[in-house]
Amino acid sequence: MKVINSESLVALPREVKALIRNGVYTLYTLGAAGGAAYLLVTNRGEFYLLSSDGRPQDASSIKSVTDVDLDQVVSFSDSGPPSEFQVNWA
Amino acid sequence: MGQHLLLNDNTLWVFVTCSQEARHLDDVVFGIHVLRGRGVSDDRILVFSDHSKVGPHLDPYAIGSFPLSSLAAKLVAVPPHRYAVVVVGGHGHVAGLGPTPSPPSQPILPAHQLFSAIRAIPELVLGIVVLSQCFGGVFNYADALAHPQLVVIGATNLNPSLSMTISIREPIRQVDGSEGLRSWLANIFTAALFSWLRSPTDIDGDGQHTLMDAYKHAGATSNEMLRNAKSGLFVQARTFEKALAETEEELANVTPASDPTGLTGQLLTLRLGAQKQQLAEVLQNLYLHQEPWVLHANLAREACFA
Repeated sequence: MKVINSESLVALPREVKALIRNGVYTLYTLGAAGGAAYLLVTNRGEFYLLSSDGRPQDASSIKSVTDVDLDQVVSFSDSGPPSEFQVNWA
Repeated sequence: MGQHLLLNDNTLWVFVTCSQEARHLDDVVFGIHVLRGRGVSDDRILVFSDHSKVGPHLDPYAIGSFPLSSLAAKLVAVPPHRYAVVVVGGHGHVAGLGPTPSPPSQPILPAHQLFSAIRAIPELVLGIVVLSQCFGGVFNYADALAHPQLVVIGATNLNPSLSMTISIREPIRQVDGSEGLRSWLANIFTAALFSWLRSPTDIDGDGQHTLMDAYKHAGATSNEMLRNAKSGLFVQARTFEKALAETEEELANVTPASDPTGLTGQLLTLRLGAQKQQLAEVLQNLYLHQEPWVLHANLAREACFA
């Protein structure tokens, strides 16, 4: 698992970051994918190649996670804004 | 003392998850973290998942897994166990376990098939099945009295199950010692169930820590969490709705001339999809209710956790 600060993805909408943080969307680092740094997978099975600052790139060639060389799952070191969903457990 | 005492050396724990979302694998990581804390050894824990890239999610916690399609073949070949606890998560379908809509390539796992696989565990005396996925009630009214007997618990009946973001004070450590899972959109019934298992309490006052206590704790706690969130969710829904409308308007104004590369439109589409997902989650938790159920309650009172 690769832990980064979500603020490094300056171009990525905060709503997307919130869903990554919750495990609804998944962000992977890439081994090699023509310059893209990350692959974003939504819960609707959509794929977005992202640059290192979170900007979408053309991902039309990707139909499955097996089409790219996935490396690690990305999680964020910062907790993000509080949510009404939030329950804090000991 | 109840008739069935579930111990670390006589109980097999099985996690079954049907989902491509990381949060459902996070539910498994949390559950196994609790079991390890109770002294359950890894050779008595099995994970079955249909996730297309499960390794990067579970490997950091030294959790192995098998394809969901191998469930029946694996369970019939495990070493003998007197008891098995099977925790089912991920997405439920009106016909069983699977996503809605279900792609043709993915068969739905129906109740009879799941129960048959569990009953085939060698020398099983009692199987406990906890269903946390949507429409868990389609697994109800099974023949639980056939041998080996089953206790079946559902987080909810013939309606969607619900999740909320849960943060744990101490992140779950990865095998390399670094901090790992600490917050995720957790299935609230499963989270509450494992919270009980971490520190069992006697809910009904009979002096024992039974499966019935776990059921009552998980059902009541998860519904209390939902109730406490309602008023805040109402306000949040209005905020999300406004933001979504603004993005729709922005996207409508994008033209080939203003966005020759198409990347602005792609970014707005990505944001819009996320906003719709967030609004849907808030509305579900605001308006839906979970009604937990238990099949074979008498046996649930006899199943004790040490």
